[in-house]
Amino acid sequence: MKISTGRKIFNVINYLIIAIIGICCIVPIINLLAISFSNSTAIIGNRVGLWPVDITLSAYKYVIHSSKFWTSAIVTCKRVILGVPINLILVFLAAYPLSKSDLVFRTRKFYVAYFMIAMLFGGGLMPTYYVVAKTGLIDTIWALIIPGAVNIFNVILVMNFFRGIPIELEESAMLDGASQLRTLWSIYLPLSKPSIATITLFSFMGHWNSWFDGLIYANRPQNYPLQSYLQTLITSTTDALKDGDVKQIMLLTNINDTNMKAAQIFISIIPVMFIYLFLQKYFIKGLTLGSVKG
Amino acid sequence: MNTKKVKWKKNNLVFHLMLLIPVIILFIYSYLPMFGIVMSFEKFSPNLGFLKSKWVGLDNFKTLLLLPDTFPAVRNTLIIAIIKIIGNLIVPIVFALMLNEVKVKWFKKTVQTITYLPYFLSWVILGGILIKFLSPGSAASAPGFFNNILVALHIIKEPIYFLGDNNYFRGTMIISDIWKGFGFNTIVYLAALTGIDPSLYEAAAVDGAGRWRQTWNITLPGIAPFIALMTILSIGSVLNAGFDQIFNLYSPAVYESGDIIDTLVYRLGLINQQYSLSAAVGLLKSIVSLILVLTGYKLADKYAGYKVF
Amino acid sequence: MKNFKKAISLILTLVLMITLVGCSKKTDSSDTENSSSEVSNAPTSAATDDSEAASETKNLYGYDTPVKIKIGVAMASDFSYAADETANDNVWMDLYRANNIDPEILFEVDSSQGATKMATAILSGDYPDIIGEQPSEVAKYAADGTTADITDAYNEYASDQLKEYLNSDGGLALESCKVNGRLYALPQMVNGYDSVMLMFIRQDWLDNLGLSMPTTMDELKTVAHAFTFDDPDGNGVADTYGLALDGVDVFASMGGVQAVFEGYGAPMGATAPTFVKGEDGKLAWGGTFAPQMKAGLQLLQDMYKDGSLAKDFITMDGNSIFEESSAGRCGIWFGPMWAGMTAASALLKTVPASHITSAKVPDGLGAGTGKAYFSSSPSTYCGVSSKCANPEVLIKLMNLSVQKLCYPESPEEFVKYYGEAGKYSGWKTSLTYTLAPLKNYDNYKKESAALLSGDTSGLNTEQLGDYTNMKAFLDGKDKADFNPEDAAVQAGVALYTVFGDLEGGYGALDKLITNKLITPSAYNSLPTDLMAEKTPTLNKLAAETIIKIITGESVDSYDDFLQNWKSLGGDDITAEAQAWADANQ
Repeated sequence: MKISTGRKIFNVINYLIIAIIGICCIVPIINLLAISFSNSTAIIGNRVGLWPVDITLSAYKYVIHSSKFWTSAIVTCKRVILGVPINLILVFLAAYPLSKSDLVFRTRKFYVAYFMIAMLFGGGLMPTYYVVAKTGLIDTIWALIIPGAVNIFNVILVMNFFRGIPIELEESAMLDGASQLRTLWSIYLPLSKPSIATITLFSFMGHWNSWFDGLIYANRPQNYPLQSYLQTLITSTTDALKDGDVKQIMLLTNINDTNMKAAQIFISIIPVMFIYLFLQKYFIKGLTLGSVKG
Repeated sequence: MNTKKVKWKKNNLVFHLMLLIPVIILFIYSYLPMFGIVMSFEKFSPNLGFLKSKWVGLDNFKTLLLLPDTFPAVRNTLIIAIIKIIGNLIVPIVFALMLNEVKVKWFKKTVQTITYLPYFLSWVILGGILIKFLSPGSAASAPGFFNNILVALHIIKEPIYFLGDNNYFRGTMIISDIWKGFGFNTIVYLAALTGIDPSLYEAAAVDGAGRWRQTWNITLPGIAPFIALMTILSIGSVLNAGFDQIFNLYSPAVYESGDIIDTLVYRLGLINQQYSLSAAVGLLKSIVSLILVLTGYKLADKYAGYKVF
Repeated sequence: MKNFKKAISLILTLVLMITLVGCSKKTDSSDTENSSSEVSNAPTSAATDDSEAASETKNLYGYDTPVKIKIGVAMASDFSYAADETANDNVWMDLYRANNIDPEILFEVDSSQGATKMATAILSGDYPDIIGEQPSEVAKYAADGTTADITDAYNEYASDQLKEYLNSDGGLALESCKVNGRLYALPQMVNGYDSVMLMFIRQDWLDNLGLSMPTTMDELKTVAHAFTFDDPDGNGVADTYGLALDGVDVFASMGGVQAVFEGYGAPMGATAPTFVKGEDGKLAWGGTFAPQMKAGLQLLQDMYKDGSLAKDFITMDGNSIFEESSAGRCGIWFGPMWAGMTAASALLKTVPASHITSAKVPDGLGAGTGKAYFSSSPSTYCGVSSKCANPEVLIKLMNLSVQKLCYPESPEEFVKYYGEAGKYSGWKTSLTYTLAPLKNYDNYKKESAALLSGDTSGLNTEQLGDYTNMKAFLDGKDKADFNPEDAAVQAGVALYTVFGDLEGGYGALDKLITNKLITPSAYNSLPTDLMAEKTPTLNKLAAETIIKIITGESVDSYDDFLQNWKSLGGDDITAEAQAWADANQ
């Protein structure tokens, strides 16, 4: 089939625009990488573009030795290892009954309302903190896991996904005498790989990137997750100034730590990149199968 | 008939059991804290607690109405959120359509991978990155990378203060948010696009429809249900114009155009320690969100025949 | 913002101590005023009956048997403990335990979370026994029952030293923090002079361009313009500008905009409700002096337009201004007497001929119209929880810290509790920061005199330490083997900018004080409920308005702001301040 000139031109422009957009997405990150390898004076002078100026590894050396950084990274890892599976289990367990029709599951509408209201209304920081404190979770890893363990948005996604699974499969399983739990385990879940991948990804990202809860619920800096620690880092020097802490102020010029911050930020991005590269194939299907029928 | 009924009951029991733990967790950590809503009707003080703080009825809401921050916060929230929703719909779809035309596999894959990247970064991180990246510099020091490029390409004459100028702040928030998320959303639409039956296109081509026609009449309707789902889910969160993002990027200079409900709640509650006001704003927000979600649900049901839940 | 006033004076003294590098040999010099009386901190046996002997052997510093107290720690993330010290394990904690006061850390968080943590802790019922309070919280906590009434405990257990410390301002602070005549918290005394706003300038740039120190705002405008366009650093590149201001926090200590308006006779203060006596004798917030404010705004607007005021000042916070001045980009900035230190030490490395001097904020409306705002209201108070079984522990803790920090028995003891880089984390790890309030002014007078005369006999340990460092800088800078990176030199040049140079921070301050160019705060009590509630909003509105006008909006829109300010509570809080003033004439 002959490709018309108009089409060719279109293609060229298309590729070009897409390429530019692609570059736009990655430029700030390359900039960050460059800063992390650059010398402090160059950074103050805003001379760093896409390539490091006066390359130095001192920032990364500092980070490797920074116990605060690694401690908080470990907290985040713990939180992910514990939190993601819990999240997955609870989400799928909840989504399954909710995906049945109202005829099969009588009180379904009630549960749906229950979940929706929980999603929309919140007590706010103080009451939630109060409950978390009274249930003994403050300063433990569980404060970062349990209160948010039932992510309702995810439940809705999985629920929609389950609905996309042909009802015949369930019926034939029932005829074979399988219980609901069995059906879920042997039939639905194997078919849900995309959905599992998606929720895993969302859950992982949620835990990895969350910073506010760590700040509020931890009583000791050793219990800060990574992003909380990074947040204190990025806003830290301003605090010192508000306190008028002259000694700290005097030390500030001696250590311009933008490159160190950049290094820490960059290192914290790496795991996320790995995970999503790994799960890429699956979650595309997971997102769409529920809604695009046929 | 009877065994069927017993089976129903047994099934229902299992269903209830499956929902048990999630329900309990939600009860403890989402419902119990809701009693804190009383804070909106009290002059709350941490030492007196929820039960003993002085009851002031609707006073807090009156104060809210008079607070000069309230109206801008609500206005900004709506403007930013609505444009974000629209932008986050259009841009990924368009980009997906464009990518769909790309035949060179490695190019397509690479672009996809690169464009997803910002989605996975937290706003804490992106905040740190963008502040330097978008810096306008001063009369003497070099501007950040972005301004440098714009000036070098003669798109602008002087560096623009994206994060500090009320005229640009909202735009910057919206665009950076779209920039962060469009790669990810694109995948979703791309996948949806592949779900459309190719024979439809062939038939249309035979009938003499050009590519644009095909796109309009086949592609878009083909992914309509999905667009509907995404839109509905977004409506409920229209009042969340993006706390994480705005918190990490705003400053007093841009409160007027950038302060949103959530940042106001945060400032009132945690910085000024006006817990009651903060709670009152939160309550109002929840009520409005509820109305919006219900409306969205009804609309989806009526026009797309799609029951979201 | 929380502790800045007290912190500045106290911290500066700390700085001086901490930068005692290479100063291992301390000569035995006379201490600061050392009152006789009870300096013992060995626990004496507790009285068991109520005979006269009992009250004389009362333990003012501790207990017979260990008493547990709960504490909360909130440090900025760039504070690090010296040597092996930790929050739980440092000289201050050891001191407390030696006196049978056993602290148990409830939480240790970043200072940005301090207020939230305290609030949530109070809410959940389990909160620290020793509480650091903002002025607005003193009355609130007292009313809520969060803190205990310590009037009796104070009368019974306060040492003479503590009483002297608390009366260093004539008893004003102590009296004004009483709630219904009873004491619920004790102020941490500050030296108001340490937070007076001054102007800092690159003297070498002035010299290069043949300009003199600006004393009026018009001169300031000219100088700033020259700094921006006339290549003051002589390197042929347009890489400098005149003025930097804090556009993020706006009313801050470093780079705060309020300094400019003080020059026009409209003191606006930083955070606390700021009231001064107007021309009519009535209390008013400086921001309500519209003609003065508008003149100042016009000046800043003009400077912003032509670039003499940094174009991106809106994202500059105090930290950025440090960077800007240190990098040699900006030539003029405002701040308290310590505001030139960082730039001085940084610039020494890159521009050996750099010289930072300070002067009072220029006059806006004629000579002598600009007056610096001065307030000695404490910015932090110490209270004890009402749930604590031993409320007098607060008094005892303060007795201890006053003795160690204000009346030390020896230079060694002094250093141990003040802090020394690499050895002792210092006073920040104590539970009550009670540094001697008037130290810095004294230091300036003694040290600058010593530098001129060479006679160090009258200097105490820390003054001697400062002197030595400053000498290292002064004597060394013209030598061929001068090493600007040497720690002593770095410390020295910074200190010189404050305490040594007669044209430095404290030098300018000294002239201000002698010439009585100071407007004292007219409202010197705890903020009222209404003030605590309204001030943040009012200040934010003011900050936004000022920024908007500077960056281009019409100066006359300030009048609209004032209308708003008045109706949103400004008039009400002014009335309350007036009421206090009337009652306390």
